[in-house]
Amino acid sequence: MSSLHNSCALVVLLALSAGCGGEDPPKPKPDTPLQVGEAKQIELRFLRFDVSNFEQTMTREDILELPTEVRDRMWLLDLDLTNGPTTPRLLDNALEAVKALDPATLSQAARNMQRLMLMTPDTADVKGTNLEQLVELSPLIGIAPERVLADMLGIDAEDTVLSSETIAQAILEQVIETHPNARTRLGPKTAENPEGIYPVTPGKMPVTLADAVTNFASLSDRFGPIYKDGVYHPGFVAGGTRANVLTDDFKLIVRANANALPYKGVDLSDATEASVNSIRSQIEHLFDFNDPNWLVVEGLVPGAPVIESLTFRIVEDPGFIPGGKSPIPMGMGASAAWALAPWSLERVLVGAAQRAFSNQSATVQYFTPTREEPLFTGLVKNGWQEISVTGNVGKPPDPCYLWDLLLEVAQIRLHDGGLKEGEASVEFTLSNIPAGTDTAVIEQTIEENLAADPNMLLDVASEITDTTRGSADFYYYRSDASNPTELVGDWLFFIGTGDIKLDDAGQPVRPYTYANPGFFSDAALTNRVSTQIELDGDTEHHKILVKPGDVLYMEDDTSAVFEVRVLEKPSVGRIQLSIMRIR
Amino acid sequence: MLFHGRGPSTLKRSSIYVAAALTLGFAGEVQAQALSAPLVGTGLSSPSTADPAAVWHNPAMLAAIERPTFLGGGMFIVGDIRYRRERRAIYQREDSLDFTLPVSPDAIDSSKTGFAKESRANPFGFVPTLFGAYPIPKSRFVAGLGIYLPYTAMIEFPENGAQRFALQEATIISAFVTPSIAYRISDVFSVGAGVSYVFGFAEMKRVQDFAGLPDVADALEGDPLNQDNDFGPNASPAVRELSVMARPVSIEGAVAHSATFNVGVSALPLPNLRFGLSYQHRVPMYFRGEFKLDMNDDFFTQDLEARGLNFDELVKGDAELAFPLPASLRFGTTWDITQRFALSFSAAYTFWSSVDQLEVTLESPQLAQPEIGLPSHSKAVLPRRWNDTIGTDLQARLAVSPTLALRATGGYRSSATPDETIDAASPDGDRVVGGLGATIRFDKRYALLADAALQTILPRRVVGSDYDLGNGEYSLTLLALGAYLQITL
Repeated sequence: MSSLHNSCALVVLLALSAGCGGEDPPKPKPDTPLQVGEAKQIELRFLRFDVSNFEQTMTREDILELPTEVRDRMWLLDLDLTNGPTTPRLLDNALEAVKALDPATLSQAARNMQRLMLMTPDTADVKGTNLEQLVELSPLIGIAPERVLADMLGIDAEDTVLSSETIAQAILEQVIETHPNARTRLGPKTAENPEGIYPVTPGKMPVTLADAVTNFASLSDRFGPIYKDGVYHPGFVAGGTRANVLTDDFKLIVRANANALPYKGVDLSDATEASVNSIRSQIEHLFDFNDPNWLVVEGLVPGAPVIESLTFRIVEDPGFIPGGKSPIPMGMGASAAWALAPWSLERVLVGAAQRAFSNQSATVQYFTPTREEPLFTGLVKNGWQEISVTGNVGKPPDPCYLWDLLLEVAQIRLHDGGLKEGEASVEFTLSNIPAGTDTAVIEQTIEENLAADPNMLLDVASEITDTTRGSADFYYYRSDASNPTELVGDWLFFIGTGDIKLDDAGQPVRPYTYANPGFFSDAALTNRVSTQIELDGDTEHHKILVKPGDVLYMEDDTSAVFEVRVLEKPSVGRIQLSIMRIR
Repeated sequence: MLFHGRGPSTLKRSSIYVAAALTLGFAGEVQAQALSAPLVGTGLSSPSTADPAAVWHNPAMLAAIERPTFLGGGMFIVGDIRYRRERRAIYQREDSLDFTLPVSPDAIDSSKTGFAKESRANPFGFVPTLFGAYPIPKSRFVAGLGIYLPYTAMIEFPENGAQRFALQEATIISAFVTPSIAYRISDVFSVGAGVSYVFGFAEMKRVQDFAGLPDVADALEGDPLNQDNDFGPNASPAVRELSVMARPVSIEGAVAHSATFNVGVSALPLPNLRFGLSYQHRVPMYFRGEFKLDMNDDFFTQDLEARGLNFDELVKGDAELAFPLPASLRFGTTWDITQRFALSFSAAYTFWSSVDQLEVTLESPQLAQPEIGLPSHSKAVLPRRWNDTIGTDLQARLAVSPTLALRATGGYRSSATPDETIDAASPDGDRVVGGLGATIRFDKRYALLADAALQTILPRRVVGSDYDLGNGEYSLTLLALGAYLQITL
């Protein structure tokens, strides 16, 4: 016992009272930046705290506390929008729902669009279109114009002209897939993909963790109007979106095997210790995919989730776009609609009609009992129609593609009720639309996707562990003993872009402004001696194996240059360095 | 008491210490064998000796004191305590952190197994003592009063020695203030009893191996960490003594207040033959003070903060150290063979088995780590499982002249500490005791008593320590030099 404590003991005995404490250690002085020529010593340790089956539970609240950037980058699954193998998908369901809406509840534009979707040859009104002359011919040839239209389209008079599937495909390709945020999605930033931007499979809508935990409210932001990379898109989701996919008890549970401790490094500016999150470098081995419980998703709505509310919109062009009159370009025609933005309503309609009738070929002839020759002949070949009449019964419509005809029919119908051009943009607020998948599929898809690329969980895992402290310029790593002998030992790793701590918005707290990353053998930084050799799965960092006596030079993110001398090792898992600023 | 110190302030503080100690006149000593004092009073004092120190040894013997008598003085004690730790198990490197078995082969530190550098402590101190006896006039009663330190341990080992996980420094003092009364039933039989207020003071400093704490093992195993681990009280040596888990802790200014009693009976069947038998009741001691726990390691303060592990660098709070002082039975007989020569025999049976473990409880809001299940209190149990002991002394006394008497003592003490739990905190073994003393009587009123006592444990090498905590070689030698003035009114 120290003399101090012993004398305190007697004071206590003398006073018959307690309360004799030792002196607290003095608080360290704040660190100050190294001046040129000034040197400090620092000891670093490499310590492994290897946890196995370490269970991390993320509730909805936990996820909402993650930086937005992190949530947006965690892709969960792609939602099939149409043409499901066994069940209709979201877009199919949405269009069917549009057809079923009560017209009285719809705006004039929406009502017109609904009528268009439900239009059959029987209900088609071709007045004001290129087919109007057919109406005049009909009494002369004794055939109803609806029948003529149906025969030329190759459908029954009671069939819808454009099926839901056809419209859905056109919307998918022209409205949805042309949206910049539907063509690419965010994902983890890796050495191979430093921007973290990934292509989206056509026909699918990427769903992120942000979408899931906000019950898809984020969709209207992501798929609303956007101007990106010089391209404008008016968006196709308007207003509030709400889904019933996750319950309040939603949990994402992952089990990880990792060294939970950060690497210890050095902030060269003042030669102080700093910590670098180690999770990123362990991602390859972080999860045991053979363990069926490596990822558990709980709290999904059982059964088939539904989109509780979704406002879908398509914007029309402000002018009337006449149908073309030329077969050139073949299979398309010369309508100005083809030059419109793919997401415009006219372009969608002409596209849908072309998709439906581009293979339509027919010969339609009508006779009178008194003539052997047909009074009316309509030749349709791959959608191009030519009508001829005999007997001076009138003037037939000009030849054109069927979609040119239908484009005009559709535009006229879209402006029924006195709507002017430009006022027919349509919006439908749909309720309780089945998402076209079920919980089991969602759960399985999430697991498969994350297992296929665990980098997806990287930002989340790094954020949860949140062990980065200070502004390290390099860190100490002791390689695994299973490496070849020449690679086993003490390594210094120069930090990479992913080693910088993220702020609450998920952005790096400092820019990566290292002009000369790595370690050099000369003060002029002309001979880089560190390499990006693969070591324990890492190829990202500049690294170098060091031993006592080594002298290295490096530059920090303020262009200050330092000399680092490797001193004698205090123990196997520790190194000691002398750091001097040289300019 | 005066202790060697290393800092420049030691002498100044020690002078205060000595002055205060002399003022109070506490009796006591420095020793480290299972807490018990080898001598209380003078070398003459025993269960069959009629001197004021009978307050402790056998209050019935106070009845044989015919005049008011006071005994005061003190004892210088020099000790030499050595421990050479022998690690017999396999250990991992102290700079690694494998918490499950088997430990990774590249984490094994084969150089750690074997004998470590010897740890040595040399306590040096002065222990005052004060007793008094007062025959109540016109009665068969004799009152007594004693202030003494029968259980004391003070030891200081090297800060970074191999023993640091058991003990670095310790001071445990128990001071008794005992008023006694004796009653002479007849010319042959007497009885006596005393009631003691017991004041205790404790400070200790060690490196706490968190790997051995159940709380740490439970926290690691429980939610949310869920890590199977081999930490805990039964931890293998392979996961012990890791630098991260080695947290310096000190308990300072811990004070205990308690009470106990003793009773005795004496018989003088013949004018030259005396017998004494006494019983000292056990004393539950709860030392309460402040603790300081050094958690200044990134592992505890920042690296796992996101997981809920976020200690302050220095954790302070309330500490309680609990252990009992044992009951004992003492027997003594003195035979005055001639007018100049006498023999005295004494024996004591001490119930050290009541010390099953030392319990240290720490309480502080700074200890609480609710996210990983660590509460605001922590309990460290140090298993002791001590054995009852027998001590015997045979003393020969020779009156060389009317003014000078000499005495020589030989004795034996069995060890309280078993191999399984011995460590540097209780360096013990079977002891042999030897002593020489003299009484110089100046006149009927004043006498000077001087004693020299030497105690040493028999060479002890322990190989069966639980979890390899205390294996090694122990040696302990104490030399006590005492001088007392006895005044008979």
